[in-house]
Amino acid sequence: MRAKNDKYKKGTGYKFIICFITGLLWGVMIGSLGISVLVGYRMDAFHEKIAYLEHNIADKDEKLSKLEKSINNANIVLKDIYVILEFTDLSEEQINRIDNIKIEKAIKEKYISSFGKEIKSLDADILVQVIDKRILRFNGTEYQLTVNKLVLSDVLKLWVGVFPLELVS
Amino acid sequence: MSSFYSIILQNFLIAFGVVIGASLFSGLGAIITYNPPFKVMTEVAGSIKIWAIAASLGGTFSSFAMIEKGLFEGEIKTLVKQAFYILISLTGANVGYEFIRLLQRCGAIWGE
Repeated sequence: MRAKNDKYKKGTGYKFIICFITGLLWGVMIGSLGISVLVGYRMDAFHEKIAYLEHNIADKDEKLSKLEKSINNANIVLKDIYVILEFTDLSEEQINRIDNIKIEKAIKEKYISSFGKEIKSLDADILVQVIDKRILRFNGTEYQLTVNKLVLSDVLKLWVGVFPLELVS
Repeated sequence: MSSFYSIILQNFLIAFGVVIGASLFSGLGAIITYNPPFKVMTEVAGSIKIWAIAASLGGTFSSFAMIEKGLFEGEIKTLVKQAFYILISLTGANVGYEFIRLLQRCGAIWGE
């Protein structure tokens, strides 16, 4: 009778284990299927959004690379130098006696190394300091230069004040 | 229930179940493999329809044999029966496919 009970107990445990495992498997399966159906639409929407954003990024990357290329091609370089001489507190006679062309030439010679250089690489302060308060001598006459104004683009424009220090006649 | 009706019901449900089961499990697979589940489910449901019909008919060869018998031995009744079974399987597979599409539509309604 005891042996029969043991056998019965063994059989019941086995049945329970089998039923538990089967239920667990079916539960996992049904649960995962249910969840996949429930979250499916949202996941689809996220995938669509990701694809759209990836496409957008690729499009914008292409645009950016083209723009970068065009920026590199469109580097502004210094093409010319204009010097505008300004004379203050000088009479017409004195101005006529000053050799404008020579002064202009002398100033341009100071900037000759800047020709063809990128505007970005040029420093306006340094450009000013090249001739600011510089003294030039022509035929025994000294002129002091002062930079009044500077415009830097593909053309360098300088408004230079000229003041004769001593006139040797 | 007569044999004819029970076969019809079985064929319908087999075709339906094949499409639904394949789609649901492919959706689960899609989630695991980082793919859009409903898209994959719809694609699988659409492509598996013809196989669902074949599976519900118990393989196409027996049906072809029956059709041949009906055509060449004059058994029109068998021929009509087979055609009806195929039609029912086709309906079952298509209902399964529409069921999956319905899930997608429900998702679109409730997911927004």
